[in-house]
Amino acid sequence: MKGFGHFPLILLSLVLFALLPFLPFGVWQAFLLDVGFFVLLFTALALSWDLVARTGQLSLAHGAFFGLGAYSAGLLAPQLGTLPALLLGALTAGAGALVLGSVTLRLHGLYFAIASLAFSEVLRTLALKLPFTGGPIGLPVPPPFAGAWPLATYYLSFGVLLLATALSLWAERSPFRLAQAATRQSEAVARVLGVRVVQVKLWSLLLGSLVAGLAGGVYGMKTLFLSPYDAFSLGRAVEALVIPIFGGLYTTLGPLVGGVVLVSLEQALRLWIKEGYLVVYGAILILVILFLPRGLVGILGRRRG
Amino acid sequence: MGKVVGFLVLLAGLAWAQVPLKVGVILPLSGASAVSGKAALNGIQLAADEANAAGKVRLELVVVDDGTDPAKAVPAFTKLMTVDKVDIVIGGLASGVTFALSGPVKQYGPLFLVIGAASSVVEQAFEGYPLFFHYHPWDYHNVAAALQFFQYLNREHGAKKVAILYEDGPFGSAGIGVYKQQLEKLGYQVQAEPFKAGSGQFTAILTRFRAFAPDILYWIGYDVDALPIATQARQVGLRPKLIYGAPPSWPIGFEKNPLSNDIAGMTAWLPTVANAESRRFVEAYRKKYGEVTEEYMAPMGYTILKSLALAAEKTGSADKNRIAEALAGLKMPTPFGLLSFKPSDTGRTKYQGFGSEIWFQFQYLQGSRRPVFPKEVATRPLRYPGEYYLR
Repeated sequence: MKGFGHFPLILLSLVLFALLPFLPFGVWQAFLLDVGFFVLLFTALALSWDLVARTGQLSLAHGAFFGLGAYSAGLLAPQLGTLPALLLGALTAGAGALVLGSVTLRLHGLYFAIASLAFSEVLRTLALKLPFTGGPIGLPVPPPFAGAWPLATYYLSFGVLLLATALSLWAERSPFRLAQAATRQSEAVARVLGVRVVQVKLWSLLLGSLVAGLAGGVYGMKTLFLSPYDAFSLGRAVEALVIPIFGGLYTTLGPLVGGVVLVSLEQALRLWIKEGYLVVYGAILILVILFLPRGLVGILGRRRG
Repeated sequence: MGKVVGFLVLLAGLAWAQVPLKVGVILPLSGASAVSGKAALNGIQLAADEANAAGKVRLELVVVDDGTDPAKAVPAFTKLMTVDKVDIVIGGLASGVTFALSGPVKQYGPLFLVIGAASSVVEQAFEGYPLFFHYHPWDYHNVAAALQFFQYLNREHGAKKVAILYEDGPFGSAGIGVYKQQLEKLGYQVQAEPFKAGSGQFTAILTRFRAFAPDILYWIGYDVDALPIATQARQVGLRPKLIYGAPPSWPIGFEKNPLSNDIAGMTAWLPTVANAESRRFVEAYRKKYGEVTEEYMAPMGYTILKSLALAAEKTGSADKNRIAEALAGLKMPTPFGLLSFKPSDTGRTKYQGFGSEIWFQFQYLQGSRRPVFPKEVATRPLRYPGEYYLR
């Protein structure tokens, strides 16, 4: 019941995000909604990465799943409409994960990381070369629901975070958590205990990729434009792994707190420090990693004894 | 006492006569385009100081960093609109980021003065937006200017074969098909090969090019590729008659390296450009910052703010629509030549500032960049064939 220990905090943050558009922030309202959009989206991406990390696999393919979802949704949205395009985008990312996973999930740790990095590079190159992706020039994407509802992108990203949180809580609460933990700690022992290691890793990768693909689709609808270097960027995958490390690995609350703090912190530092803000940002990251090895949620754990 | 009161009244009158103008500036001050972004900001701040000193307008700049990233640019732009409440925005350097801003720009409706964003995809995104003023030439202007030079090389120097080395990213790959097609139309034989951006390894491709024996080695990539290409072309014994590069900016200090000699490229401005506005800009820039810039985004930023201040001065108003009207009819000397707005070549946008006429070709000659083409701006004759072999 690990995940439910922090359930009130998780619920509270979700309720706050749901109500954000209606809170009285005055002139800061629109700005905070835009920041909130990216907080929600990158937090969902981080949760999806953490789902895979719980099996001990270091995925650098999350940029690729994000890009697959973004491009598929962007290409399909003009014909199918927003929601079917997003759904198919997520499924395409899932299909990509199945292909990657079926070939590489017998690899461990760093070897899988390298394979997943190569997968990202292949997909980025394909996006650059295929005739229907817009190639290096990029792909314009229509806004959701033809721009009829201004809050659509915000609530779509909230929906992605809800899904990511629900999946993460389910994974924490169910026996799947034990299978993931056993796989992470020792595959050989897990096998002896009867855990179908490859299957557990494949399911984790599939679930993570579905969320990442969905997040990519919503991202495209907000930025209205995709380029292979942005959509399939390695930086996206790195962001997805930094947030859970900062907030606390293998939990739902960790990436949630990490995403909210880290993405907001970056925006705030950019606003108030301007040039050189990355120095402060980097220093905070290093300090947290050095002194809070279990991330920000480690503080809560300590308080609870 | 009376004199003091009179003086105060005069001061108050002057302040009242000044047009107060709050201008949002959204540029990449971090991320991939930070060098160009900071250069542009320097130019903008210099022009703002000059305009404020002249006393007819009172400019207040609100600067935000777009991080060369749509995810950072969109909230930053929203802040300019809703928190800082500006009506006029200067920005839009990288094409991808500018495209991402097209939605919020249309939502909030500011006067948008665009400094870069050469991709014609951006032109499509802002089609029909009435307050969109694009100063920088579009990508098709860049292609036209480069092709004019290649036509000259073919006609006057008998160049027939071009080997194109292009990076596999958006900068190098966009339009490579069109380039190839157009060069073939000019009568060139073309062999084009991509390279991995930032790899620094060109010997395999350059060795293959050796069998093709090109007259021109044309590379489309970034500043970091300049030196490896100059070195490795010599190492493999490729002896083109001209090495022509098209990076967005050249490596700092490249001119001091003897290997840069005879390498040619295209730019919109150099500090040595001999027009009065350019000389004035270089002098003022040196005075304020203690150095001379070679980044053409600095005079571009300067030009944009100067034109804005002039338009505000003419209308005597801070109203964005009236300023846009004044800008539309403006004719102003700039470091790039005369600025005036006309519809873009495709007709998609109404106010296009500069076109292919601002581009010119230069060559690294004895430690500095010299304009060599077209002849109206050339200060030295083009060295063709150049010397690109190990001594």
